[in-house]
Amino acid sequence: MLQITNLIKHFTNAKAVDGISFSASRGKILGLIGPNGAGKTTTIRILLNILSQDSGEVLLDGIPWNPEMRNRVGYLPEERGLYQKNKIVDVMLYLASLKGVEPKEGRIKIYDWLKRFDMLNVAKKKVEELSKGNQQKIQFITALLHDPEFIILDEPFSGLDPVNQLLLKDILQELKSSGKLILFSTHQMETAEKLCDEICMINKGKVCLSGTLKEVKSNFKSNTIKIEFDGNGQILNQLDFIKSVNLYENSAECELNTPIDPKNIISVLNQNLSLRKIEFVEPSLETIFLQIVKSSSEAVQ
Amino acid sequence: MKKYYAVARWELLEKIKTKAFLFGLFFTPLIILLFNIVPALLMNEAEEVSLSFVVVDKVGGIYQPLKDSLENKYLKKDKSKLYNIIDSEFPISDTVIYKTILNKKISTDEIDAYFVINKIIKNEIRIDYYAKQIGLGKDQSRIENLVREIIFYQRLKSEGYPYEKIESLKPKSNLVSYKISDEGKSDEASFLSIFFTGYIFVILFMILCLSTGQMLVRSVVEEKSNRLIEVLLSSCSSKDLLIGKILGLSALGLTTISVWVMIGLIAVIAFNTFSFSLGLISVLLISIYFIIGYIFFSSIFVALGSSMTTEQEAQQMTGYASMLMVLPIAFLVPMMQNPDSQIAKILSFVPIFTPTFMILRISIKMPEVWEIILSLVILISSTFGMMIVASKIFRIGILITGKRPTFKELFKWIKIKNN
Repeated sequence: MLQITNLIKHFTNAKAVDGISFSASRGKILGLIGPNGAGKTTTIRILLNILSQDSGEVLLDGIPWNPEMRNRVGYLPEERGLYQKNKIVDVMLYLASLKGVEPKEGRIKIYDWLKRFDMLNVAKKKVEELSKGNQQKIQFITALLHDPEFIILDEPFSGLDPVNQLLLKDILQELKSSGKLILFSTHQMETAEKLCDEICMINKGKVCLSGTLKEVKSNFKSNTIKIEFDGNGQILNQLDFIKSVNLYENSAECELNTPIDPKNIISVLNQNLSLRKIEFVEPSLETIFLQIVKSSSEAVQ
Repeated sequence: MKKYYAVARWELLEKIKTKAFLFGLFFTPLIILLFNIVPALLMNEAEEVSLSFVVVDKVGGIYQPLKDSLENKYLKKDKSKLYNIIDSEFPISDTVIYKTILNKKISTDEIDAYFVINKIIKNEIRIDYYAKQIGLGKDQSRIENLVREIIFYQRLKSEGYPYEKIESLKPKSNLVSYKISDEGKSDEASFLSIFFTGYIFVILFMILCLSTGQMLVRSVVEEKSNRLIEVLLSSCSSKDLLIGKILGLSALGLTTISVWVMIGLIAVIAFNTFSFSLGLISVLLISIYFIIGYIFFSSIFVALGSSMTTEQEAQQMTGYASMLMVLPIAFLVPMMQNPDSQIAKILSFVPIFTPTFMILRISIKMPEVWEIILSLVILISSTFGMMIVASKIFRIGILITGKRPTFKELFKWIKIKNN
């Protein structure tokens, strides 16, 4: 269990993290989402103790951060980079040794992982000989070599082809079911939506939304319905709970004034039309994200 | 495995594997050997080439004895004559004529030089020497001494003194220089060999500091620019990283030095040109200054490297730092001539000069005990100070990208307390 309470971090001329609190539990994937400059990376750096917070608390299993925890954390930073001039195995062994992995053990693990990614042939090559995508895979493996309980991935999917994205997703699911605590940061909402069990959205250094995906979405109840019907659609314009209508021949998209109980909507609509299909459109994470960012920047203006 | 050990191991092994390092490892001592051995070989070689001199004897009666003694006294290794003395076979009364003839002979390499022994005026013999190369003056002084001696004996003879008896009264002399070493033993040493011993240590020190320092800066800047530093810092503390880097670098330095010393020893045995005239205590002291000085400069390079954000900036900055390091070279020659000078003594207490100055001074003349103790105290404490400053700058600097920090900011970082 990772618990973060009221984290605050100032830089010389900005408040990068302004009272962030959230928690994540084992066997779950937490998505840390938010626009650029929201404070995601700073939060991650504080979690990793690369930066120290001005105030607030980070507890892993109820214990505040201590040096021993470094070996229990795996980290893939957003900006990728490895020692370019060195052999891949050597670089991986070095980074693993910094996590307390003995060379003998490390070597076995490295080859296992490379095999899984179908990259056994690159082990002896220099890093600079690899494509960017392959370097990224190497870095991903490196973050996991020491079998960490707590995994932080910053934009793990960017720059990967669909095949490798799928492989990565499989691995993340595996890690999740083996009880790891996974925190991943992204602004690809689609990925977050598919992968995360819980969401923590950060904007301007503050948490603006958090909870399970379900909770988040139910807080942002849909105001839009799609219907298909027989009859005269013009009637829809006269219903008072409907704000606006996009009317087509036998279908319509309606924006509602306020969230209304679906049962009521169906019965009212059925009185006027013969409904064939009704769909309550669930807002995508992206829609929610855009709405929040937009409304907060409007508020500033 | 301690984390700083892992860092040190990586820094050492991966640097050793680079081509640039291997090149420097073997190329640097070769260059130094070339600089020092070749002139020495040339100097010996010079004695192995026969020289033909024409002697224009205006005094009279000097040519023959001069020829005899020069040709018999100085022999080459194979016992053949070193000097070949030729009489002037033409009228010597006309200066213009013989000069024209002889100058031509020199320019066509028929002879190497000619001497004109002028008439004695006011009991002074002027000897003129003409040659393509004036050289070291060894030949000139031999001839000058012989001419003076010949005239002296001729005068003794004409005054009726028994020549042979006087000759037997004249003692032979031979000047050999001795340097008193720490243990009170005296060793044969020439100034040149002392100079080269001290000088070589200083040169090695600088080359080592500069090359490994630059490597260090480059590695820190690389880790910064590809953000690998974040992975490293999520795995170990900045202190582990710093200590590891300095340790790794020191190990690299020691490896280099051992290889260089071995190459040096082989050269000494093979060419027999240097005599290392240092006692055990001197060598020990020099090593102490060498190692502490090395750590001192490494810390400076760490601080520099971590506050730089791009390779270009880093190169520029290490350029300035290098200049600062090479500065003591400017003081070398005056200091060699006068190791006890006030300025040399005072500068020995300034940390950036201490290693180079003390290494040199120890090899020339052992400084006073209090000077050694005081300079070591200052050097060690400033090394610790520098390491603390470097670690503070490092802690914050390694995460800074984009704009290079100003001196004001650097100063602020130094003031931040560790938490």
